[in-house]
Amino acid sequence: MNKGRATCDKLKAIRKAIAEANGIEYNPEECTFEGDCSGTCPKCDAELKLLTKLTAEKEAKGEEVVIPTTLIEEILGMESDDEEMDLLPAGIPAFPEEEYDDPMPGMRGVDVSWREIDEWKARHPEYKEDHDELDGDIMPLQGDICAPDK
Amino acid sequence: MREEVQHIDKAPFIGISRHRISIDGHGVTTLVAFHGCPLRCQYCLNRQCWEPSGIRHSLTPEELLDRVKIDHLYFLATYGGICFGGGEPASRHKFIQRFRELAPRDWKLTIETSLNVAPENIDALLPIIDEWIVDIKDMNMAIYTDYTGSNNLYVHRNLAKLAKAGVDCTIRIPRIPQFNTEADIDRSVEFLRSMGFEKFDIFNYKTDLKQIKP
Repeated sequence: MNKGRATCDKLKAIRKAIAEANGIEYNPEECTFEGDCSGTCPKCDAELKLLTKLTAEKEAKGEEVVIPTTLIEEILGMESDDEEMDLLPAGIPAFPEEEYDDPMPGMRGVDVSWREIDEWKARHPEYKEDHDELDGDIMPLQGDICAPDK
Repeated sequence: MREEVQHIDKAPFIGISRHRISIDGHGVTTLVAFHGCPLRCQYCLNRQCWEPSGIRHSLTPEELLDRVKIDHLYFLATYGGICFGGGEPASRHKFIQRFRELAPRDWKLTIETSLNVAPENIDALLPIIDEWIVDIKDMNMAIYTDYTGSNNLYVHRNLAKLAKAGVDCTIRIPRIPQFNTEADIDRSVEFLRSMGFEKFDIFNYKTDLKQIKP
């Protein structure tokens, strides 16, 4: 599995964990993309925006938004000393649909297909700008220095 | 009284890299790499930060926030946030200050810096940076100057500031082929321990020896 796909899987698992902890229905379809995955794509970003929007709406209604911290740390492969559930602080930025004249398909809150995504990408060549390649995993880091060899 | 809004001009960037999981500090981070660096390290792999053609974006703090806010939920859920790199991010302290004002407080800000900037810059950054990752090259000034083309007087002064402030700081010390030895690294560690630093990351550079001018 390439590194981008592994990143994608982790991020998808995080989205699913947050959705389930907050009673939000989220059933991402199996990704069939076979090229080099950069870790995200318009479809994943659309799902993230939708989840952010739904949690923001929940918070706006005065309901608690919970983050399953321990589960997420497990997904990331990190240790956690935190409580099982943690409250999400206020101030979730909403992504109003009017942000785009032609919003990403997932922003409409319905299942989207790769064909729709491809069509949307064709209409939005500028979208690529948000995803710099930055030399993949050796984009370093350290201010002015070179990439670590480890 | 109307609150005065600080206006910060656009800053140049060599790139913005999302979803770096546990690479630049804790959790999911977005690396924001500034253009421009005071050093000319012999093995630098980001030479695009020296050349005007290396600028890929010019953004105000507000525009940067707009770019990176999409990952807000990931940042909150993983205690991640933004990592400023480059280039030399500490040269852009006013930009980072303004970004801190704009960004959700829960976003963690990390900086990867050489500390070779005016001490005033570090004073400005100390209250707003959550985690420091400092590449000191080598504490020996002769080695440092030979490798970077600059002296490390600012580095010494700024390390003292960080030590005094007791910030969360990891000191990265590279093995630099043809420039320092294990004994040099041991001396750097010893010196830094005496200053109060405890977290060290000694690592190898990926190098292309052909870069070195004869």
